[in-house]
Amino acid sequence: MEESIIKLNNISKQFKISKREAGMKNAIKSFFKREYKTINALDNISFDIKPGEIVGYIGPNGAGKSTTIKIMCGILVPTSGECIIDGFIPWKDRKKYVKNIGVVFGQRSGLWWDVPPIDSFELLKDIYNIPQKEYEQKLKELTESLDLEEIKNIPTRQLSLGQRMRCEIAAALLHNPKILFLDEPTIGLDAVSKLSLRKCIKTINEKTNLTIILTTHDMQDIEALTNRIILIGKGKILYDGSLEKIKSKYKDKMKINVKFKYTDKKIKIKEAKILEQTEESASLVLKHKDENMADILNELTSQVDIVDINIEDMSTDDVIAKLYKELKI
Amino acid sequence: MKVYFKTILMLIKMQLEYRKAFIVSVIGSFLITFLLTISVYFLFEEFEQIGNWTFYEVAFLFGMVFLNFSISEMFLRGLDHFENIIKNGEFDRILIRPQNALMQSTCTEFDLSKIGRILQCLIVIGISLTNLNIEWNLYKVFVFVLMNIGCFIIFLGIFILKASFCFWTIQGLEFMNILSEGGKKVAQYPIDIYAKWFRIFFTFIVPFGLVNYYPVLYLFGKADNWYFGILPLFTILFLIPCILVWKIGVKHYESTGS
Repeated sequence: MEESIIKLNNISKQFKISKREAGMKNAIKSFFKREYKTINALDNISFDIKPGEIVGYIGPNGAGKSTTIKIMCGILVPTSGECIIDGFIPWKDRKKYVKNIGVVFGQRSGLWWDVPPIDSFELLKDIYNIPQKEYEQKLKELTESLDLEEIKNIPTRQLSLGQRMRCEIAAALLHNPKILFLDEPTIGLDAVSKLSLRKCIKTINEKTNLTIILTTHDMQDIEALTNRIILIGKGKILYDGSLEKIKSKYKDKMKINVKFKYTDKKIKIKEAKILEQTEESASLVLKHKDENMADILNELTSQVDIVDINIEDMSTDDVIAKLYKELKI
Repeated sequence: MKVYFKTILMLIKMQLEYRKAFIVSVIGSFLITFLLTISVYFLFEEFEQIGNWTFYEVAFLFGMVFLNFSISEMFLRGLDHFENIIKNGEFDRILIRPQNALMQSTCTEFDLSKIGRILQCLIVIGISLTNLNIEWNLYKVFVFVLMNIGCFIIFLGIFILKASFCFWTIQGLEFMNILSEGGKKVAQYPIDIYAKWFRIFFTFIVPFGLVNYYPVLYLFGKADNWYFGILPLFTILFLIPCILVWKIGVKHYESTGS
């Protein structure tokens, strides 16, 4: 078995926040005597990630995603637990450790605003102390895979969000890190930019065996890029595994709508429940999530003369929303 | 250091992108300083002398302190506006880069327009010196350079301290301006014109006295103690605790992520 590159073991993080009720009186009171409340932002988080994996780290707002990322980047020190990434403890020996990681914050730019990206890249070369030759080679490679040729000489402020995001990713990868943290990289992008960005990320991952941790609210990002998700809610890990498995959990919620030539025969299928039937149409659901869809379709064809059939699959968004609701997060 | 200067160069490049705004702010900064200089002149129109100090002597002090204050504002703008770096999360980015955090924070901003002020201060210093009849020798030149370095170090310390407090308060603290703005005002005049406790504060706590008063006494031939000239070196003792407070601040940030 391959060694994991990222290992989190029972990481917890507590924050002290000042508690205050509404109103001027309380505002003044809390100015003089502040009461603090401890909240558990992270509660015994553990997971392993292997080199070259892409992992989607998802959860509703305030679940603790950013806190985890910040701990893994060495920005925050956890209250307890251990975290070893590529042989380093992130918050110790920060300067050496951060050479191994690249970080893209979707909502904040890592580029200098008023100069073309290429100038930012040059400066990053010095900040990360990248040898000239390596730099040139990496830049060429990234220019190709992220399609930067046309845009790297335009001042950053004039780039579209999609173009800028491609430059941000290049900026985060120039020093050839082993791990890339992408914090909501597709936020605010239009459909075309999203698609091309996903393609770029996928290509880079396949080419360089880069380990990628991705936080996003866009389930299509996850579907396009990875099959492993780690779901976090209220500071706890609620699920770690494939997206498919979660989806199949809700397979019995799939609705089959079928239209057929006139018949007054009642449809009878052992594995499915008929929700409603008219003389020319019917809709049914699986009785059990383990039932085989093909069997049911076969059965249907043998009983009626099908004109049209469609299966209402639950979208990933629906699945995740349902999951959040079920887990009460 | 290489990274520092390259970043500064980039920031200069960025400011030159906005040519008109740049020219206007240079002129602005020149004019504001000009008014201040004139005000010192009018003060002496009224009083002729302050304590034992003549107009050109005070003008020299004024120029020197203002020069270093302007240089600090130019180079340390990032620390001056440090609350923004904390608020917009820019400090997270600083922490994920393999360079010193204080250095990186310092070069998030660079205010080239202060060049207008710096020029004027140099002119004021120049005029004062030509009217002052100082018997120059190599040591006195050395003292003059040292005074300026010391003065910059004090402002550096104050700016670092001011930035460090943002780790706890998020907001920049107005009272820190007492040290930077107030210190600047106080140090423009020789400290022997002030009350005793005031003098003690600005000699031993925020040691402006070490960079203007004592070395200047020697420079102007008002005192013969040669060691007055090297007192600016002791400003390092002020800088060290400031950097320490900064370090504690960074540690605090890492555990709260505020």
